[in-house]
Amino acid sequence: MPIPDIPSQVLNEVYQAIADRHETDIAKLDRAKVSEEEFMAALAFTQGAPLIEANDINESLLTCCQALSRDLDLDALMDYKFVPLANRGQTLVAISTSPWDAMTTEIISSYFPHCSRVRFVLISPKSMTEVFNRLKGANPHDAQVAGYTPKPRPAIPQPPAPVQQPSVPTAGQPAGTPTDQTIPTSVPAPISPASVGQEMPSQSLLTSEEATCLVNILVQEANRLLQRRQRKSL
Amino acid sequence: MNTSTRKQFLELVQVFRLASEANKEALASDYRALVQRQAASLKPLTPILGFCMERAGSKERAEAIFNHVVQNCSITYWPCPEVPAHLRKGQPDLRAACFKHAIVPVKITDTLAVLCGTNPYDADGVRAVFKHVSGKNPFPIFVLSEPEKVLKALLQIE
Repeated sequence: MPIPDIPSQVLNEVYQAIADRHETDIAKLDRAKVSEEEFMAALAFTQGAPLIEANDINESLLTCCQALSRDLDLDALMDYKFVPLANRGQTLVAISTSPWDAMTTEIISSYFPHCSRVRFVLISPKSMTEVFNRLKGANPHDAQVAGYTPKPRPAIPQPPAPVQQPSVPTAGQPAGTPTDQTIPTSVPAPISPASVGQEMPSQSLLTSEEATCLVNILVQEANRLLQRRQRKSL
Repeated sequence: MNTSTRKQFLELVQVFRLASEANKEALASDYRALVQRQAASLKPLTPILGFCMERAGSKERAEAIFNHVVQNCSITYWPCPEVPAHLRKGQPDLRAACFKHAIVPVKITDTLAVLCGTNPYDADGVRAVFKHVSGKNPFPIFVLSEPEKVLKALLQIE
């Protein structure tokens, strides 16, 4: 079977569609002889979703995906197994390996809270990996950073940024959403009790890169915890 | 305009309340005249939705009309319709059906036929185009795209 974890009801619908195509009874259908191509086509048909196969992954498709995933964390999208493809009004179209999964819809909705409807385009896990590889290849910077990426700073002097707490994604707000980009690019180092009331030497402050690295580690850890919690709840 | 096309037209107009009761008939008449001219000159027919979007008055309103249709139908939006290379030449019957119904085949394999159009109510059009690509009885899937993108894809069929 090309896609694991397909609910039995979905599987039955798929084999029923294949049996109908062969004008036979589902009980007489030899499931072992169904090709992967036909299975995927029937799965797409029963889901009412178009299917993207390896040879459909072209520049225009990737351009559409890039337009919506540019500000998102590709590693997180890989974990959730979806890529946004298009957004029209309040409708989002996402490429997914498991469009029947309610959790997938919920996660996508939390990434795009302004979209009240999610429609799917089906893809096999293998082709999904290919899409991610091509997207990462097109934007290698994303491949290196799992969480938040500081935007390049202008050369002009900046006023001191107000101190903000780094936000940790909650269950309803996965990492990498556009709103996550409100993270400040510099986070002050913790103040030791002995130094309270004294002026901090500048050497003891974390650099912007170190602070970003710390925030990334936090976000990765938060993602793992979230995924673990989601798996348990399933 | 035949009964089926007229029904589709009125359904679309009704959906997004583009027209008042008074000018629905005038719009339908304008559309009929336009597609008759296009059919006579063997050009692709302007899709009903495209016609309505042109008459919307502003780009924003036209976008809103399309978004409304996408949101309220059960068909997936397809952002990049293109006709596969092997269907672009030497298929006059397919070309005629595609031009008439503003529907393009975007993926045709032995097992799957994905057709892209602009009108979620045009079951006749889907059947007419599918007839020309259904050699091995593929599973049919219909997707929706913007009229200008579909018209651009239509012109890929020579």
